Amino acid sequence: MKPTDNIREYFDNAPVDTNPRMDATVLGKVLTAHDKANSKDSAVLRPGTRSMIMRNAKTRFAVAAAVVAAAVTGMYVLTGSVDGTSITIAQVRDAMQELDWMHMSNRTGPEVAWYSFASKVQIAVDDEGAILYLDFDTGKHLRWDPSSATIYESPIDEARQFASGISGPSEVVDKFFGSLEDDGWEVTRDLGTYDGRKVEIWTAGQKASTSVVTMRIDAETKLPVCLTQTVKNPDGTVHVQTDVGFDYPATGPADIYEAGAPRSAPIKPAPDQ
Amino acid sequence: MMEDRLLIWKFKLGDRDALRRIYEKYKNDLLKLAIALVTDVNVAEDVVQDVFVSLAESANRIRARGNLRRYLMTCVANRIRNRRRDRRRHEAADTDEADCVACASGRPEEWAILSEELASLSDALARIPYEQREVVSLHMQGDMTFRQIARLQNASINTVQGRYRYGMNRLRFLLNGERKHETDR
Repeated sequence: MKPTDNIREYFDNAPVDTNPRMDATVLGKVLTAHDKANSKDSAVLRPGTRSMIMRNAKTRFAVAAAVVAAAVTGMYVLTGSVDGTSITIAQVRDAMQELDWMHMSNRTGPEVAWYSFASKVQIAVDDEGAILYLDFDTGKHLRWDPSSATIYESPIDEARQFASGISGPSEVVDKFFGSLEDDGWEVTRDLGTYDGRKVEIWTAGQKASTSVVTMRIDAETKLPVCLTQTVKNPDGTVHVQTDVGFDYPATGPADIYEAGAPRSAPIKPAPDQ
Repeated sequence: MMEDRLLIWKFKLGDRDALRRIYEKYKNDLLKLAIALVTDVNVAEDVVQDVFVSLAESANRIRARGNLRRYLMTCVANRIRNRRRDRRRHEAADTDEADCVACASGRPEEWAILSEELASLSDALARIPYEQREVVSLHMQGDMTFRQIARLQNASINTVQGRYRYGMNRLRFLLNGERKHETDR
């Protein structure tokens, strides 16, 4: 090595290698420790769930959407064709592009929602039948209320974000992994069936909490099909707080009329615009 | 960074391959740091193995945020500090001298294969006080800031910067002196 005043070079140019035989031995010990720890506590954390759902006393449909939208990407990364040794955001983005539309329906209420990740369109039908059509590319916010014969148009509020802040595939990844937290929740995984198809059932719970979140994931497509949140009452009965079904259609409503607004309703600027 | 987050997430979900990948990705960096800190390769190997085993057992506790490499580097530094502290409790002998004796006594089967450059660097580092060695190694090899090292050493940033300056001067003298000596021969 050449004499130099730059100590950094000494560090950078001083490689260490490992003996493959010992490498295998050490790695074997590490993996054995991992397997033992897992068998001792088969429940693993399902991070992010609590921070995104459970902190809200009143779980909102849109929040559930954000969770599942994130989980879709997360699941794809976990179980899809993306290899852990060479994952890039571009690969995840490509994977996400295959899932343009997501349709959600509240199985205990009338709410319905569609999200298009490619065109950044978000459509929601609320519990009173009002339809919101938000096109984040054009910044248009359309609203039709069943009590009105008109569809009102206004700019999307600057504070509002597509899919509760998930505005694109890379952001989905960032937000999802940014939200990973060790907050005491444990997830158990099991196999089962749902609507006649094989599913993997992820159940997230916490010892000190009466809430349980269950996500059913299609074993074949690796996509979530249902998200349920239940709360145990003091008398032991279980109350279903949220029960959302998911599917992934090739396309969604092209406009607010296809989402259910009457064709006779004209689009006008909102009165306060 | 993003790859590390994915690895941690998969690891937390029980994925063995993610742990294997973390091991492959960081074992050399951790070994290099440990060798710089303790000089005894046997001890360095033990420490790094312990860090990985501990990581493997703590999927539920590890936080996904932050820098995985820095986290592992800090684990190595903390483990070595604890080891030194324990040894000081039980032995009056100077730990560095003990390390060098162990070095010379041969190894059953080596895991780390040191380059000539790393062996020279390790020898030079062994001749500077531990606190200085730690600052230089963590800053150079661990890419840690002085603030982060100050937190780890429970010292002020000024103290850490001072240790770094003294350590670097001494290291420069030792390494270049050795090289000059070799050239003269």
